Amino acid sequence: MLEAKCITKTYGRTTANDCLTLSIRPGEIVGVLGENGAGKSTLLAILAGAIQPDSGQLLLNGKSTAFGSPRDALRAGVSIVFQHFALIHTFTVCEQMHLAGWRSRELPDLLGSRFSGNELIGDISLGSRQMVEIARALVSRPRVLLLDEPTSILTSAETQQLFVLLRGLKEQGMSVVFVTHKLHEAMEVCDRIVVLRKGKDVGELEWSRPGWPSGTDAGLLRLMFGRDEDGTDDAAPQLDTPELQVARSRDLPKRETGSLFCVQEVSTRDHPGSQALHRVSLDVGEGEICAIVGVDGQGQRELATVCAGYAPADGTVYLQWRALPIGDAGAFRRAGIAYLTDDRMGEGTVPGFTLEENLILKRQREWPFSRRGRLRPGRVRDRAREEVSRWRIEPQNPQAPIRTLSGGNIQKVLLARELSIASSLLIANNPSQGLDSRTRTQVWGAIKEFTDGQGGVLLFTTDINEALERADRVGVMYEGAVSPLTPVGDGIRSDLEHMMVAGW
Amino acid sequence: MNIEAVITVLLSVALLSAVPLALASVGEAVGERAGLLNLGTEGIMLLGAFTGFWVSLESRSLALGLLAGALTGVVSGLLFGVIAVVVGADQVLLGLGITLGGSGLTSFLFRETFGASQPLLPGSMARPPGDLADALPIVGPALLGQPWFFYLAWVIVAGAELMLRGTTLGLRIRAVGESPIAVDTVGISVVSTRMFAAIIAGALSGLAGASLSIVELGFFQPNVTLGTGFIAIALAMLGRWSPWRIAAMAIVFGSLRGLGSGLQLIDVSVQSEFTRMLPYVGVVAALLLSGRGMRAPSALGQTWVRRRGAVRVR
Amino acid sequence: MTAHLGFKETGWGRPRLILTSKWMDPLWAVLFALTCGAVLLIVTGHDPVLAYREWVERAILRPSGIQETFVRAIPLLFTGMAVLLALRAGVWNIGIDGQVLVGALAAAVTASSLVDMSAVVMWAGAAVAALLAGATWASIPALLRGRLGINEIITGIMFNYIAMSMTSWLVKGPLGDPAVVLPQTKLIPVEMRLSTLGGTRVHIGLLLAVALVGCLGWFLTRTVAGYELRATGASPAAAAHGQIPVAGYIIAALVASGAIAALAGANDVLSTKGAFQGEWNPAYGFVAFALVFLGQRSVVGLVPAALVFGQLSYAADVMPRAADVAPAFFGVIEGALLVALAVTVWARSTSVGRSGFGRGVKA
Repeated sequence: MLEAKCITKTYGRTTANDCLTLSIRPGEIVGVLGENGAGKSTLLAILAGAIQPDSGQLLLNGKSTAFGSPRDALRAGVSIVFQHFALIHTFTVCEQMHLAGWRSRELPDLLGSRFSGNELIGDISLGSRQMVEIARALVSRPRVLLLDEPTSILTSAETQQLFVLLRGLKEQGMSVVFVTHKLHEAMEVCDRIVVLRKGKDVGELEWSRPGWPSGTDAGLLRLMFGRDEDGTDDAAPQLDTPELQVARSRDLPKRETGSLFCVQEVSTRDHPGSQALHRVSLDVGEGEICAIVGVDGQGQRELATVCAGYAPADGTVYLQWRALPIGDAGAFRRAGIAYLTDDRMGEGTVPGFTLEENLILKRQREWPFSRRGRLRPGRVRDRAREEVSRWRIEPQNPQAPIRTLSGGNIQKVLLARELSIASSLLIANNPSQGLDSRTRTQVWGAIKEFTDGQGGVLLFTTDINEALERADRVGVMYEGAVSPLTPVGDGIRSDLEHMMVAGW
Repeated sequence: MNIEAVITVLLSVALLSAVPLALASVGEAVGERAGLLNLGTEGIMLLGAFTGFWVSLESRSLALGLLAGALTGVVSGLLFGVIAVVVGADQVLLGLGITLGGSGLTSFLFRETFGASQPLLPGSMARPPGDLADALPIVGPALLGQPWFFYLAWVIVAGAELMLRGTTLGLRIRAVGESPIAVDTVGISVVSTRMFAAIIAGALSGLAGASLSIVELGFFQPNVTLGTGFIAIALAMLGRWSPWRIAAMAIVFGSLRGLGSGLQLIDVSVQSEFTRMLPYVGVVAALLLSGRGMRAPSALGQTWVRRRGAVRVR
Repeated sequence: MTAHLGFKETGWGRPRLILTSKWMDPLWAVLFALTCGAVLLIVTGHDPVLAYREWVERAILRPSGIQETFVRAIPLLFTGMAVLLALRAGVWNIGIDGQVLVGALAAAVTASSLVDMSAVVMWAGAAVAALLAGATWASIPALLRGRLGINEIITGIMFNYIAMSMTSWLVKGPLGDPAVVLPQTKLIPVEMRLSTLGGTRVHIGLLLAVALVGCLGWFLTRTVAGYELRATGASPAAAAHGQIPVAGYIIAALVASGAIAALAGANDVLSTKGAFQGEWNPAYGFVAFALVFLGQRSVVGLVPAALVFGQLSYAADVMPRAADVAPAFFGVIEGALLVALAVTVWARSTSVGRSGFGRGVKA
């Protein structure tokens, strides 16, 4: 029905989609599975007309077509639900539906039972917004519904409701494209699963009867993560079986660690647009990596900013048993706490600045970069040259505008900067997200070097595999609370996964 | 002169002075609701004031003059829209350019057309029968004795309120100022919605200018608006982008603006500098009192381009 | 090989045609504005060729024209610096006009009271008075913006109108010279005005302005405060993340910008005007924006851009006599220039340091 042929899309040097082909038949649920950065979202946006491919062809019922805008796609019966909702927070549910072209005074059945219609979008829960978003996408009675990671912010009960809804839509003959990086969800609801890796189509599995045969998951995992050409297993320890977990090896034997950083009973008040923290306590030892794992938006960002000294909160934060003044980021920094933000382009870097200027941000007032209020360009340049060669940053010119750097190189700049600040603790928020395998290896190598020198790391990640692979202890963050950190060991994976989506 | 007559005169002047302010401000609010920050309002008002005045002087028709003012506004709004929305230029800079150019152009054309002479429009607009206005004591002339355009203007303001609040078009305009992505996703063109808003905003500003020169003053001179366009921009913000609140604010600031001429009419001598300063001081005071926590349309002043805006690419 | 003829390597991007390179934008904008002017002249029945030829002959080619261009560029340089400094901190100082007036009045009053001292003392006293007055005047919109998040564009414009009324009232009444009928301050004797350079009309204000441009460039690139100010303007989020006091820099930049703008007023009073006259308003504000963007928002670009607008200002005085073109014609040229620059600014950059309208900055 809808067919994409050899779609290619590149952003600068990265190829998001490399000659991808996908055909969608009526009345089926197609899963598109892949890691973060595999090119799933780009493919979906191209199918929805939101992005134009560099080359390739779209076929609608066998005829060649092109979607110049989402409107073209809607006319052709293709509707999309984006990962980041396209909802207007100041609108009511009713107004939002009317904007989408819903003409009746009554809300559609999907929403009618949940809402009166006068609720503001900004006030309802994320799960409810997802429902509104899907109802919105269904207004135009599409024949193909595209869903981009629809379950990432849903509770397990909400996910199940969504699956029931999708199966119902399938019964009515609608096709659904379901993009996810969650293997089991894909297997639960999809009739066919396409696996993408690094922008390439690496395999497709189809099963006509309900329930996928055993061993499918292992096969899909192999497809998803593959192996690098040069033999380094960048993503190989994506541990999904107990055997592999045992095989996980940190090179050094476990050291006796003293407590380095300690958070006690930290709480914040409710604030629109952010998750309140509820009596969070945790501690990080010297040379230890502690991971806080959770699905997006459970308060990781809020907790990270409190731990880095940026946000005010009730409770106490200790570094080496000395209480730190919460909310005074400068004091935290001087105490040797560094914060590697996940918002690399937003708060991590100053867009108009050069590489060297970004490298000294936060330390611009310190020796040797300045003296009595005057910058010392020579020292700044020397430092930049040093870091560029140590981290193999491209381009090598310290005066290159930061916006000309690729995402991986920007992350190297940020990590170089933060590690120069971190003498005791590094708080890292999704440090390897969106990085290629080489950079990821480099980033983790540097972090490991830091822990070898008795530094502690508080890692926030949405990727449970990363947490299990890299951390010594793992806790789960769910709706603003953190579970007690437990040492990584056999059999904790399923508990963690359960807590991530359902709390405790 | 007795106190009642003083109130009567002041009230009439205040309500009439509020008209250009309300029209321009509602126009600006419609634009800002769609995410367009048009600092060219002052310039568009001047253009409308000049063409309106010139046409009505030539044609001896006030209605034609007002129409010409509104059409000038449409053309200016179109210009702003094409450059800001279609081409995607910087809105603040563009607005300043339109104000500077509009001021220069009208002054230039005024000198070219009239030289050093200062023509006046004959008489004010036709008044409704006097007995109706005189039936009500004190407030009668202010409410019932105004030129017909006065009443039309408030109908237009009410229409804008209804349009923004109750129609699909209004919904789209508000949506495009909050989240262009959301509008694009549901298949509505961001560009045409914003263009439409820019044209409405321009038309209202042009009409506001014409009403100033034709209805309120009866003459034109270079920079006759004296910052009314900028006050209108402030009022759009103070009235929280809602026409009826703006109308209420416009009456308050119209009174401040008209106070000088009102006091002159009744022979009260106050330093003209002080009365001239009043509306501007009033705006700052009002901003100080209510400026905090004001939530502007989220996409105000932002250029929207699909390839950048629609999808966040990791 | 051909790459060296038609293209140049821009460093980090693709090779670009020279004609479309960033540094050609000002030229295109000027050409566009002049074309608009020509169209206007044709429409209103003038001969554009004749008018432009007169312009070139009388205002550009004669030595007096060149001198006047420099003289008029001086206050524009000050206002341009004021706009640029605020813009680098991400805020728009549209209150220039008011700050110029307040500065001019303060300078005039101070100068006339220091008339018995030596000229240098008088100039310094007037300059300091102007700086203080401008800074004070600008501090109100600055605090409103920095502390309460009230849009500085609106308050800036309101303060312009307030300044106009206030200063003209002050010279009519308390600060005026009772000896003359016109509302103005005491006239500064010609021999006490800023000294001219080598027999021309150009005075030492030019040296001060150019020196200040140098200082501004040094401040922005070589000091920690300049670094932090630029970070604030380029990305408030990143600056706050870098523990830079964003609101503080916004307030400081607006106040400093007002002080620099006031120097333009002091310059005029001490050189060409000799006194502050009621209802005088040079309206440098919007021109200063056109100037800054014509100079590509660079510090170095201020100087040539100020000369362009100095020339336009002189031409506006010459042309009515030379070619029967009203001075307002140059308002049209400046407006068209701004519109053209608005387009090029978008085409070149991702952000102009746009102020969040009505939204507060978390202190």
